[in-house]
Amino acid sequence: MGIALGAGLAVSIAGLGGGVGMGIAGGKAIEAIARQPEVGGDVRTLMFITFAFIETLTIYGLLIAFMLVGKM
Amino acid sequence: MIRKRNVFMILLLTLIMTIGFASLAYASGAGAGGVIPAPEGHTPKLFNWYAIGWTAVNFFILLAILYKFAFDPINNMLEQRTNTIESSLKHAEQVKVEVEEMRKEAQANLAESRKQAQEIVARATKAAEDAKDEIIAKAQQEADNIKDKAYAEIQAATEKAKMELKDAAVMLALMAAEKVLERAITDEDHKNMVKNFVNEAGDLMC
Amino acid sequence: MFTFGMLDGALFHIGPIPVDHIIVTQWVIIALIGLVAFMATRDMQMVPRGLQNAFEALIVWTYDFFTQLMDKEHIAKKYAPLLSTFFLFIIVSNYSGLIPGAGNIPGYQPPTANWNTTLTLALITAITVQIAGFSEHGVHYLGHFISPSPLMLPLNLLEEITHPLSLFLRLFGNIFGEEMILAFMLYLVPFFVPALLMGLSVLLAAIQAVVFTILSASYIATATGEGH
Repeated sequence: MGIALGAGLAVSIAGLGGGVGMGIAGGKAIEAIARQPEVGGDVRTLMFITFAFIETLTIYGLLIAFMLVGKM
Repeated sequence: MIRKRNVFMILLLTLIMTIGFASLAYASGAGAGGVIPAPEGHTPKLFNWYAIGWTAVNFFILLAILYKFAFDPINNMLEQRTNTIESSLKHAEQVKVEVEEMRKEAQANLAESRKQAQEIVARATKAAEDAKDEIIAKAQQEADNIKDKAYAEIQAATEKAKMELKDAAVMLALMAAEKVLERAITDEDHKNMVKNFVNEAGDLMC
Repeated sequence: MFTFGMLDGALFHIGPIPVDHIIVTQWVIIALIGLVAFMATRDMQMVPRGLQNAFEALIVWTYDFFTQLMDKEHIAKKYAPLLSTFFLFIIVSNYSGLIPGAGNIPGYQPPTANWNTTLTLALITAITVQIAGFSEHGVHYLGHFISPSPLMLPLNLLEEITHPLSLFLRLFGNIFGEEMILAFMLYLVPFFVPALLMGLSVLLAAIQAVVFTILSASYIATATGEGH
């Protein structure tokens, strides 16, 4: 039961943190593109790279959760 | 930025998600007692060197295949296409130059022919002018000739009339002298005398 | 156990060397990509059309993309084939998990959902980065490990390790997690919801392939850049 709770906590906290971070990053990127549409391509590339970095942290949480569940 | 209410919402969401995921994990993972049946199998070992070696070999095989079938032919084709486009551009440039040359030539020809036409016109004008001058000169000359001839005829007629007048005056003077003198003088004497006189008189009169 | 059919162990042996399920899947993927490439470039035409046009556009696009990303054109020219191969291999692998009925084949899983495969790809990237740095800067490349001051040596070494580690874990976690969640959803709600998730994972698979390639390219660009 404790391991299951731990897995759930890992996924949910990692997911929420990643979600908030991604929302802020995506919003700023869209603001930047709206203000200066001519650099849209560069901003989009950078945005995807940033998303990938943020997502990695979420995925770490997910992996920890899988590992914990595997230990059950 | 994140206000208190939002923090509360996040905490609530975390709680809900935690409970949900935990119950899912518990339901699926409780071994033989799990509610949801999961398929059999076991997690692969990390650092399975056989798998890593095979994957590396496969990756480099794929790289080689792509080099053979994609990158080399496409690069060659791109280079060839570049060359073709360059050569056709050069050819187009050459054709352009040629056309320009031809245009210049045609223009030169046109100018030449225009000049020639002008020359012809000028020559014709000059010829016409010459002809006009000649005709005028001829006419002048003819007129002069006619005038001269007429003048000469007048001169001749005047001479003739003078002579006739002189003869008539001689006759008249003879007759008058015969009448006055009533004597016969030798004709020779008379004639000489009268002639001299008439000559003098005629010279004076005329 | 909560593993969803991740079969491990040898399918058959070639001599003493065991062959996994994953390896066979990779062979199929390589054969597929090779076949498409072969078909596309079988008779090259001066004016491209059809498959040749598509394949050429893909290669030229990646080429331009790396040139734009890496600033140095000769580096981009040198490493573009490797990065394009990464891209093609990863994207086809990712999509191979979405083939209808893929889950019903015992032992079948996309190669990128196995951590040995992604570990290999990340290791290839790491080794390529070091080779690129050395071939561009020679011995001076070692200078960048102590670049601001020798105190930074542990941090720089750690960075060299965490870059491939994050590549490895990101790709593996994304694809594996996506597969897991799909399987989970198929067990919980067999209809409709998995379709939505599959639509999401179509996007995710492409983004992960692009991100892996972009990050590899930017690591190579950093190693060969002027700053070191």
